[in-house]
Amino acid sequence: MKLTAALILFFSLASTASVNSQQVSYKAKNVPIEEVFNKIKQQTGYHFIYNDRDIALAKPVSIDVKNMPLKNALDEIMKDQPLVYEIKATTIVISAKAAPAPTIISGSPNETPPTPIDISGKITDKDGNPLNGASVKVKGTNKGTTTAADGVFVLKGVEGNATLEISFIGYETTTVAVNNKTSIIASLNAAIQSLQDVVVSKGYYDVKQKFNTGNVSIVTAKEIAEQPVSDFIQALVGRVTGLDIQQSSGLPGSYAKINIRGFNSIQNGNDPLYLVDGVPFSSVSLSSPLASLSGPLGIPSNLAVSNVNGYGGGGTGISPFSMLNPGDIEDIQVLKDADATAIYGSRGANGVILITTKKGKAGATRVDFDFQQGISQVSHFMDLLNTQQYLAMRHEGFKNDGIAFPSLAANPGDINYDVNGFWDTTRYTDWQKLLLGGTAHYTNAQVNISGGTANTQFLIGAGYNRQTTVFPGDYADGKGSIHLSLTHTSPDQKFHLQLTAGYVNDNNSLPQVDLTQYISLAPDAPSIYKTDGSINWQPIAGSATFSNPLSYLLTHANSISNNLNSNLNLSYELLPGLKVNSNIGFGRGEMNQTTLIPGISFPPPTDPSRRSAYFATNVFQNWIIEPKITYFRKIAKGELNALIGATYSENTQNSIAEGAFGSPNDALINNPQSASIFQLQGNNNTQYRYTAFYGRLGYNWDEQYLLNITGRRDGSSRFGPGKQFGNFGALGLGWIFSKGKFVKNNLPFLSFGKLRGSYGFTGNDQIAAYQYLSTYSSNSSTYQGSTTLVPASLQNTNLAWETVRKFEVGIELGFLKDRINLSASYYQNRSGNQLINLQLPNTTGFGSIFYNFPAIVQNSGFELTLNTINIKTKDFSWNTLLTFSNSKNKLISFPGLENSLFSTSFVVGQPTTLVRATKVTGVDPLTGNYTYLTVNSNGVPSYPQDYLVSAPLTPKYSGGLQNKFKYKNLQLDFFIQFVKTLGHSYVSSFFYTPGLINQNQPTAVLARWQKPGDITSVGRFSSNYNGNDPGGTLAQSSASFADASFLRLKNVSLSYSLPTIWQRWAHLKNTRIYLQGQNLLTLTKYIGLDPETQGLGLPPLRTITFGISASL
Amino acid sequence: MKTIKNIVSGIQKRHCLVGCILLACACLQSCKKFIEIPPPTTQLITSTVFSNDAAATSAMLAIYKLMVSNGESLNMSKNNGLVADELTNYSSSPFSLGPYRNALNATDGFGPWQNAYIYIYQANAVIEGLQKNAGVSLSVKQQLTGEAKFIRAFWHFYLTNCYGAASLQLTTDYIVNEGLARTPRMQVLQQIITDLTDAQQLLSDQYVDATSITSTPDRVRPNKMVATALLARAYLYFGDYDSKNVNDYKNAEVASTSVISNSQYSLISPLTNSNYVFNISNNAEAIWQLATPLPANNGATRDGQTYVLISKPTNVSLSQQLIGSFEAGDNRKNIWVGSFTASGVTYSFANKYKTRTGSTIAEYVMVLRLAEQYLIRAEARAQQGNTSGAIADLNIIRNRAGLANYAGPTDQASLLTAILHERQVEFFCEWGHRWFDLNRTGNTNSVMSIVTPQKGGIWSSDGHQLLFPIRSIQISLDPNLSQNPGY
Repeated sequence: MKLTAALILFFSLASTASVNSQQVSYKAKNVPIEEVFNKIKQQTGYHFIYNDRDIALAKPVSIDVKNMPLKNALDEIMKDQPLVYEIKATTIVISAKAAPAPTIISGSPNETPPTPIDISGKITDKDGNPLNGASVKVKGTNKGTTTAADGVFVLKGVEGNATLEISFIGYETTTVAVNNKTSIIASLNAAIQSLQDVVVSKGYYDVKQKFNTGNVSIVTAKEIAEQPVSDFIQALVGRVTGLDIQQSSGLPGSYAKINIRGFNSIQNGNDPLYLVDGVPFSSVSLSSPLASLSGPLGIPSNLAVSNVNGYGGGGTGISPFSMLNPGDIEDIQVLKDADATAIYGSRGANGVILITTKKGKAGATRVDFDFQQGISQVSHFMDLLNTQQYLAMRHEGFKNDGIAFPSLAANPGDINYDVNGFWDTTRYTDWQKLLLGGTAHYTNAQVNISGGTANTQFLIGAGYNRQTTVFPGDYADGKGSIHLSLTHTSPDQKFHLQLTAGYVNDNNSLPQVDLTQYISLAPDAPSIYKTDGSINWQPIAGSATFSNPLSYLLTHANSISNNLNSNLNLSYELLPGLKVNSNIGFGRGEMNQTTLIPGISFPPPTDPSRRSAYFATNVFQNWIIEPKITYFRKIAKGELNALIGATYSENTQNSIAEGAFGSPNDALINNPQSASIFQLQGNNNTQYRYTAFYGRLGYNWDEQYLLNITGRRDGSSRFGPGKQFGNFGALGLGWIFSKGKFVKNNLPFLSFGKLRGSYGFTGNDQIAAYQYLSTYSSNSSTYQGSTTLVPASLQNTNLAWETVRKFEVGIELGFLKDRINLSASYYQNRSGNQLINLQLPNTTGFGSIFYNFPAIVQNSGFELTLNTINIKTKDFSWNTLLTFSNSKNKLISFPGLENSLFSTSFVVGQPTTLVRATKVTGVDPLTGNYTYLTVNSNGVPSYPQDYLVSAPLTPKYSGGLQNKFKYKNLQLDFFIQFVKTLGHSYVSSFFYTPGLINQNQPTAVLARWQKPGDITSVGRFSSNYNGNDPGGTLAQSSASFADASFLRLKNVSLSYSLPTIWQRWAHLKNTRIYLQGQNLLTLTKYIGLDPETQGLGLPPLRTITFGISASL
Repeated sequence: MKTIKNIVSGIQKRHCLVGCILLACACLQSCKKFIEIPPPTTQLITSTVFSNDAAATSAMLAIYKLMVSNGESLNMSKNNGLVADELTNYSSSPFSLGPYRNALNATDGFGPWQNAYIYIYQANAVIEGLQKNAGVSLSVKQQLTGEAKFIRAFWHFYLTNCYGAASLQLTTDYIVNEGLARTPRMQVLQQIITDLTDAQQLLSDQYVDATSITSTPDRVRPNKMVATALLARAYLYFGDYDSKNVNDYKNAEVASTSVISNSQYSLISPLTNSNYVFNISNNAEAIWQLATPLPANNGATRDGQTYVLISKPTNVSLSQQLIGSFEAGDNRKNIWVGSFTASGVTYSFANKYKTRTGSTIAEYVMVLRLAEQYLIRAEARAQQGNTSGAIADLNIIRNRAGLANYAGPTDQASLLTAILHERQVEFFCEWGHRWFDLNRTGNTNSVMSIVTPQKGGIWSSDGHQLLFPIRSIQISLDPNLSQNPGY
């Protein structure tokens, strides 16, 4: 016995490193049992210990099992043997049955079987929460039951020496010996699900990550919940490789620029396709495209949302994703390569983001609630000149220009009020503190009620979120939402129904402009308030002498949006493996905007006609019907999955905007009836229809070789007759080499290994509707009493798809029992037939036209995800996630580029996202003016030959590092985001020439040229616009770009689960209190408010919240 | 039993297969139909526009409407006023300081380059739309084609005077237009004359209303005389740039005479505060005006809104050079110049349009008026050596302003100088006459070399500041386009 123990110890030590799947697939007839053991050892890595004498009694074995858990397989093998087994760690000890088992068949009626007893018990999780639906089985029999909602079970007539096997999805199976006890309480440990076993959804079909041939990343509800954000997009930052998210502003409701794996389209939409429970979700903001209605969040572009070169201060309208409650989201899957996206055809070119909402689970009715509250502040202010430095700069500017210092006394017409004696030059206002120094409040509350039986489950959720701004004044974004999910499966498991619906009401109220742009006001500018508290214009002879930022606090840009997203999914299993399924979705988004500009916000002289109000309504409605048939069958050693389906989808958008002017009183401004003029500002109705026919064939041979073929033929109404249909498809292959003998025998530390690759075509149809028509639109104002008609577009009937060919290879590795998981992929996407919204020269009388250009753009990159379980003990665990993405954009070919309109903007072999700029060589030590590298000797750059610098403004590489620590009840997570990129520098991009009237500057300008002989990189001060820049091209020069790389402590979450005893006392479960922080710290060399938003726009705010979550 | 089951499942399977195939066929069949959508409800297909009188007229009227809402009269007069010696700048915006100091740059560009081509495109679209489609009555077709040709000439005229060589846009085809090179000034002027001559043939004698046929007292659409008036100006400019060719001046004289002798037109005289030429919409001096599109938020013209001062200027006021050039007793200084005093400083402003704000419409934008025809003829006559004729026309304008007859030297040069001066005080703040006059008469260098330094700028001897820069982005978009020298 001692020897056995020693042997066991030895073998268990020796075999700890070799861990494999604990599943057995084996088919054999009448083979010696040793051979069976060998086979199992090969497959599982488990060792057998036995005595030859015992084995000699064994009968030959016939077995046919497939993917059977080891235990079951052993049971199967041993059922007719005079042997018993015992698993200790990774060793299986075989011994002869101590006493011959009573043979029930031969048992005579006289023989008394052990007395059956009735057992009642309760099954809970580790924390004592009852588990509903757990299976309790008498080992070796068919006898069993499941637990009720309170975790209680009753089993009658169990033999006193039986063993109970308790199992539940998501938990480790355990066994309990009855030992004649009538009451059994057992707890199950949560199973650690291997990353490879996570089921990923590829939209029309699901597959285990292990068998996935494509590239799909998942972010779960837990990761979203750790971040105090009201827009789920912000929770994805840095967590998904290849997904680039650039926040455009720190204002609530602001839109982020999002793209997956670079910019496929040169000038067209690069937005991924978003689907919420299978229903397309528009990525275009519902904000009115009219400039008069643009609040600080800007106006949405009609066409390309992800603008390559846009920066700072917002500019895309209210984020459409603010119409989704992050608390309703179960998970987000990001589909990237051809294998994953080709089934989306002409909409899959830029990747697909699948959002799945929460569903109810079977079990006792539970109420989960979560409440958090916190504050937000601007995390970083710029170092700007103080009054003294500012005045000195202005003096020096005039001196450098050879202009006499201005004086109102000497020249009553002078307008340099900041220095000519009119303003009080002893004043100092820290405009950043005054305008952005406030504290915004963040509140988030969520209640979910869920539960149900094994056949029917429900979930009802309600959420509330409110964020105020850092501006002075009462502005906020408030959001209320309800979410509903109902799932039903017929008792025969053939019919399945799932209904989900979400409704969100968002009320966003902001001033009409982002006040951040006023931080560059002269520091000696007058007080914004008069002593009586009214707005101060510091007028001279009736005219304002500065634009008072307070005036914008008197304006309002309000947007109220309502969004309904609903989906019904029905499926029926006609025959084993054959299912018909239909997905029916309906969505409706509606936004009402009001922009109020009261008379009081205008500088004197007063002009009541400028008092204006704008009203806009924008309604987006879509429906989708997607019938499909799926088929599953085992063929030979493999599994075949097939599906065919169709899509019918329609979007309509109706928008109308009106303006009301000349209201007699500011108090009546919100009532258009009071206006003297009520005018239609814009009216737009569009319809978009889309249809497709798609299919998929997947085959998995012996869980080793994977094949996946997808295809789609689809048509879009956005294109002209004859160009509406396109064919798309992809092939994905995978090889799980860790299944092979070589790995099992030689690389025991490798627990999982897969090579995969895919190639295919997807398309892009992201252009506005009706582009192929030549049309006139009417204008609301009349001439000679007649309405007027204006050309709306240039005709182009040849518009067609943009096609993207995607290629990817990837490797996925798991080491040391999947404690280390590494996934690396390389992709190369080539997009051709470029659908370009070509900017036309003015001489055409039009701004732009769409057409397909034969240019090929390549996006390639390398992505890496590393998941490690660094430490895992009973009390302490430490997990790390590292993501890294780099991407390169390159123009591969462009037939006829030299003679085309792009000859001066693009270079073959260079990124298409680059901005061409002149090369600043320095500052002339004699004059203090900027000098340029120019072809001719005059030093004044001319276009295009002197635009030598290529500045790509997309990230070179980016990624994130997450660490999760868990010690007993305490959990600490922190996430660091890093981005290496070039951005717009303060020089000329958002600060003009230092020394200019009423324009403060960063302290960095103090390094300027002062006297002949000075060697510096900052040009002289000048009172003239471009005074230190004779060519006037500084804003398009290398000096206008700077390194905007940063490393940001994006998120910290510290949570504490209350001890069970306390919870019982409070009648609560899963109670957790937590502290969360967002954008806590940013390390960067960038001069500006923030390297991500750049420019003079509100930077992302630092938010710290405290919260509590619990269940009833 | 098993066989029966198999058969049943076989049938089911077959049914499913058939069902699937049927479904697939149905899908493919209906796909095409499904994605055929009707044209947008808020827009009209171009061919529909040009198949009926009213819609076609609406397409033409849109050009005038746009010219008013874009404030072209103000744009032109303010731009040229800033670069010339007409306005004083009070704005700290680089976009005002640049032109004021004659320090324009290629990055920002300057002038009507963008808007002019929009109007010309719309005019070309009318010409082509009417040509390609049937359905518009002949008289309307002629009138609209005439108007479109007039507009094309009008904007090419401003382009060539701002930029010298300009691109001639004669089609709506963007493939042609996106690669346009610049045409030398003389050829542009020639095309303008051709278009205006065509327009003269096509346009009605009367001013028409929105039917394009019925006459109306509103002079807000071009007619034959409008085309003739611009033609007179075009010939005058042509002569100046055509080495002072007498034949061109003769043509100018003929054209202006036909306008002057037309009984529809007479000078408003005497100038009074209630009769100030710009006050009433249907005045006899007006040859072409632009009506205020309705509904109007502010019934005042953009010119009135900007120039009229009721506080210390933050934008522009009239320059000392202009104020100083009025002769004593000139009623134009009394009637057309306003003043505002703040902190003891008096600012003069253009007060041709009196209304700064108001909902009633009392003023239309004046584009062409009879006084110019007299001064065109005076200049054309002086250039041809007809001294007495020139002085007679000059005196008509002087007398109307309350000034005595011209009493200066009567040699050609002096006379031309006198006419140039008369134009300065007659047309200030109207469509930028002063700058164009200085340029075409070769006087810019002598005037601006003094004025520019006073404005805080530098006047370069190379003369590049005479022409405006085209925005550099335009040069990059059109490889055939070249920049003016010096930018």
